[in-house]
Amino acid sequence: MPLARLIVAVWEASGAVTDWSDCIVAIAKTRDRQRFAGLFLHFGPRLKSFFLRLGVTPGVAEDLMQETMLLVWRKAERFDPTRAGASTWIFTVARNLRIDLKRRERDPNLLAELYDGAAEPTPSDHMLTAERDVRVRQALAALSPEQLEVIRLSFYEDRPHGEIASILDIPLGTVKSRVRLAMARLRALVEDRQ
Amino acid sequence: MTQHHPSPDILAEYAGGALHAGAMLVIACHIDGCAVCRSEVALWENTAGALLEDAAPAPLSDDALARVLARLDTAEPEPVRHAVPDFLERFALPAPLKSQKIGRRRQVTPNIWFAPLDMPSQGSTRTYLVYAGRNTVLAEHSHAGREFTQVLKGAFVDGTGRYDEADFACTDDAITHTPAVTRESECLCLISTDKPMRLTGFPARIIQAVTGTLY
Repeated sequence: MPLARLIVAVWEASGAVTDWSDCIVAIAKTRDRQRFAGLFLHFGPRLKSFFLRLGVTPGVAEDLMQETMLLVWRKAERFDPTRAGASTWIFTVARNLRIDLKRRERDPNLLAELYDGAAEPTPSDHMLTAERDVRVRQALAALSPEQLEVIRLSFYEDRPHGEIASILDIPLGTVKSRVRLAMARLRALVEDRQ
Repeated sequence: MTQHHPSPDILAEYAGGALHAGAMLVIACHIDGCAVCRSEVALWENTAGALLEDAAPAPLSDDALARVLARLDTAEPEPVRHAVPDFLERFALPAPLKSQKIGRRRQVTPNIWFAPLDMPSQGSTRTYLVYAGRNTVLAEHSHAGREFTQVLKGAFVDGTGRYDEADFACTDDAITHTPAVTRESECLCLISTDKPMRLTGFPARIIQAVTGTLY
């Protein structure tokens, strides 16, 4: 779809989309398909990459990406920019789909319900989450490359510690302590800035 | 005040979606009422969000955008809502539990019942509600793998401590325990196990209740 990409590229360059949170809020309000196309072309390739890293085939990764973006379109009204940034919210939609992976034949809404009902935010939660994306980003940038790598492998790509040990060619015990330290450091960095 | 929370590792697993559906539900019920853990989960969700944003984009198929645009107007399937069964109406249930498909109550003794949850792709995992009246001792048992428990009402005591309403407990295969409900209140818990529990006591009934032995 080179033409659409070109249009979006021009449109992005013009400054029409600088904030994906605003974009999702606008989609919820106006059901603007062009904005959605912009969101899709930004997050679609990232989501596909996310699913690929979980070890599914490119075809399945593409399908899951499609399903995720369709849910983003349908659930856009539920996105609350004071609670989470755009990429965090889209990640949670993808995550919930991912757990759904193994039982595609059954009711696809069952699991979505599990999360939709969860945790109405309290006022203090709002404070915590509003700026958190920024803080987390800064904290990730402050981690050492080794720490960032184990966070990515263990948490984002959900690889068992044994597998990380062979990927990085370090002992299992080192993996465990490195993951623990990296998580503690990230948490400390985020909390220090509050 | 909640005394027992899921460990940071478990909360990170939850945020990353690494737990099975039943375990996810137990944690969802815990964080529904626990701002501390909710905040910890938010940290890991934000982290994953930042990693998603920074991910190297994978090329999409040529018709990817056209395909999704063509589906935008298709009707959204009606969400499935399961009614809370009569026997649970008198309990204050956490929101994530209310929409679950809860099976029929199985009375094991006059004082104890189980009600299974129908979870997706459960495999060997088991998720259920267990109710025990005041002053009831459950049969000694151990687990293959982890067991997550969220106390929805009342309190129980086992060899590892006392767990009150809103508390979370995690046991693993190293633990053989004999949970006992305290005398103050009846007890309702949501439990999810990696594998069915193993009874270690005698007689080998599904659950044996012996009342009044502890308190």
